[in-house]
Amino acid sequence: MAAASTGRLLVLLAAAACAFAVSGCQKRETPAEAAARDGTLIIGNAADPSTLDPSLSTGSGEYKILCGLFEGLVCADTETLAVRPAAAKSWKISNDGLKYTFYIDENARWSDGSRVSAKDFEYAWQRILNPALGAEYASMLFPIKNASAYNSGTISDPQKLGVKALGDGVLEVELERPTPYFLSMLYHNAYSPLPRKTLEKFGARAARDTLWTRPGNIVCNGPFKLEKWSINDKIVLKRNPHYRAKGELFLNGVVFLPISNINTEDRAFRAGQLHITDSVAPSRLDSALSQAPETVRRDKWLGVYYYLINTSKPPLNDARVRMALAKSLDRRAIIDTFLRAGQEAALNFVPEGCGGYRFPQGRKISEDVSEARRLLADAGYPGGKNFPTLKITYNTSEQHKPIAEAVQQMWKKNLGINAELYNVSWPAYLAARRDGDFEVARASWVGDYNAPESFLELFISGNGLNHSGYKNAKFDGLMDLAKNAGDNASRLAYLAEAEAAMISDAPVIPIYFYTKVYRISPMVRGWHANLLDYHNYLGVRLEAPVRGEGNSR
Amino acid sequence: MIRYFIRRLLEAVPVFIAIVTAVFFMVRFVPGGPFDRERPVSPETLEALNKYYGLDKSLCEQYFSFLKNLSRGELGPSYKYGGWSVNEILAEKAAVSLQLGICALLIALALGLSAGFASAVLSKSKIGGALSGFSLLGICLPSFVLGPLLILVFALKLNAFNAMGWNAPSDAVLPSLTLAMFYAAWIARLARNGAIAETSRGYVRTAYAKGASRGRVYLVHIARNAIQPVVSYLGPAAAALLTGSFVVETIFQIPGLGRFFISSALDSDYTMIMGCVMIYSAFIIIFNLVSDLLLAAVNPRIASEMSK
Repeated sequence: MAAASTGRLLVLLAAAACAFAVSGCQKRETPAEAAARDGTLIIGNAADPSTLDPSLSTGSGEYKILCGLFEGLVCADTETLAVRPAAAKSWKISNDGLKYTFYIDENARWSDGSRVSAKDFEYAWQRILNPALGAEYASMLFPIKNASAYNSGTISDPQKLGVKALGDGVLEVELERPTPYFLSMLYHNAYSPLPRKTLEKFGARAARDTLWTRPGNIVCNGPFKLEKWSINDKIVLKRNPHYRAKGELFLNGVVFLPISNINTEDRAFRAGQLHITDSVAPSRLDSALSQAPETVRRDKWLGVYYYLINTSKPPLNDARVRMALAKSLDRRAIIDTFLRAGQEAALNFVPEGCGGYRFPQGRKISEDVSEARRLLADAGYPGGKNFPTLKITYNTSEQHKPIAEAVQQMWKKNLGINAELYNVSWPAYLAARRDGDFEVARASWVGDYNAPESFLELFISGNGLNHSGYKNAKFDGLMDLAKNAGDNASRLAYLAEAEAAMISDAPVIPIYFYTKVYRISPMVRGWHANLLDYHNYLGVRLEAPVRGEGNSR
Repeated sequence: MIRYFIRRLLEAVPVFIAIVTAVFFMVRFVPGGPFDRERPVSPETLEALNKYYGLDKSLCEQYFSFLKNLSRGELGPSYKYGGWSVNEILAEKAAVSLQLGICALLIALALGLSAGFASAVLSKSKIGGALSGFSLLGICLPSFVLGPLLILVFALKLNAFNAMGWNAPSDAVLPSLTLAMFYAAWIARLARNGAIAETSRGYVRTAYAKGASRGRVYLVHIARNAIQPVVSYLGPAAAALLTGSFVVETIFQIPGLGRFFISSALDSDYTMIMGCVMIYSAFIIIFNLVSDLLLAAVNPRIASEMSK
């Protein structure tokens, strides 16, 4: 009796499940299609933003969002990265390249309708450089006169900074020395203006933990304003009704989803919940390319993946040893096996085309195993004999591990050197780098602005970023010459000389240059590729599909 | 009974303080700090940051000011999320994890108990064997396999649900199923074993001898005793379900508490780590107590032990 009734119950349950499943089979409009009709772009953001204060942001997790909320004096063309007017309608540069005068656009407005004033820039730049605020990206402003001295506390009067507002409409900026790439730094969020009234209201002048960046409080001058910020969930931007360039803005809003898992993001795209992903898992790339090649983009990106060498630890303090390690790798094999997105092998440190820079082909690292063996023998380790076991430190990641294993095998096979892998958590990895507690560590660097200095400054003696402990007076001297070079051509020539000097000492082993691999729905138009992955959302359109089309899966 | 309840709560206080103290010091001895970045900050900036967050004080001073704030219910600012307090984040995220956890708990109980008792009743038939096999599968199948599998079928193929997110009530279906399956399987096994063990007891034979139907014997006599292992298991299970799951929340992109258990440790967000640990310990303590009280409710012998 009981058995029979249980059986009936099971049959009923199964029938209900089938009915439910079948009812769901009908093709419904996906969230991405619905959003496209509303003009709302949905972007996978990977990292959850830590802050929306442009002076305090440090990571790429905030970069895309802040580009929608704030606008600097200039912006960049998203195709060419050429500098274009933004909050400043025009500017004048003095003949000696030391003084910039910006004329603020009268139409530039905050989202509360008030005018964007030169004083908002003066206030913002004084704030980010204020040592009490402890802004991590304050050094981005160091080309400005006295900025470094004020930020380190050597001078205490912010009025001595080389930034002055002459009324609401004119901003005068004095530099420490001519900086040909200064304009291209100005669209980084560190240079954003700030709404003084709002910051003062929430006591945010020198404080980090305030409520000024919350929806309802924050006032923005970018194409969008903040509608919602839910941690680990979503950030919603809505069109700023007072935005100056209304004619170029076709979107009504942007939603950023901080999806930390690359497979979750991939499924979300295939289910029609995203217009643009942050990346594509190498393991999914082939199927994405075969099923919907039009949705896959592979754009060059201003970043380099490399192995950092601690030049103070023997035997790595010998440049011949370091060069042998660099020459003995087969970078193409690493790329083709683990990355598979056509990344470019890195045989120098600065990516090609960065701010018009070219590193001479003949001075790049040559992959040459026999030469590597000879160098190692010269250093006293023929065939890797007596060479101590090297420790390769990397932070936990699905991608770093196979690359480290490949490097380990290549060194063993080509040079007879044993290496052991040392996998640590992200904070432990950063601490190891900071304290010099590593031999070889995986590392990467993405340029903050489109100039080779953004990469080469890492190797200046005593620079806080110089974790390899590299010191070369010739390199430092050439970097100094580049800083003071009268014209752009000689600046780039000095920089190439400096990089050549550094590369021949091999304090790092470049492995590959980044390629931004992501998926984009055919509904999105006008989303251009550029080296900085910079997007200000101007000119981007959404075309909702005719029924039956959608994200290709 | 009330005395027992109060005694257990009082006993929990030192346990809670011991956990909090141990974690407070442990996280500070882990290499790396909250302000370590790939682009390192200048010593002056680091000094300013440490001063701002009170990390320049001695560890003892930090500990006592933490306790002082804790006594007021204040967990302090998150070191990762500028302008957000840990209280605020935890309150928002705990609500999501609670909703998901309650759904999962109800599914686990409904599926687990019915499958468990059904397989006990039908233990000699093929259906009973199949149910028993399914519960073993539920235990063995990890959520990082089950979750994507459910998404593949119900979101990508049948288009019945979203693949991720937490916007509509229907978004709770797949994650709660994923989360519930393991617990449902355990509950089913515990209920089945409990019920089968009881069937040979004297009181069952007596009940049958008195003419009680099989359904009545199972539902009224056996269930009450067979359910006891399930009730003991419910304490830790409920605590785990209601505080969120890192895996399920990551697969389904759910803004719950579970992800903070891992991410706060990776970010060295000290205050957030403390908040997460405190919530989890509090839930464990409370739900163990609740499951003891429930046990007393179904078993008068335990109730009389408690009253002593």
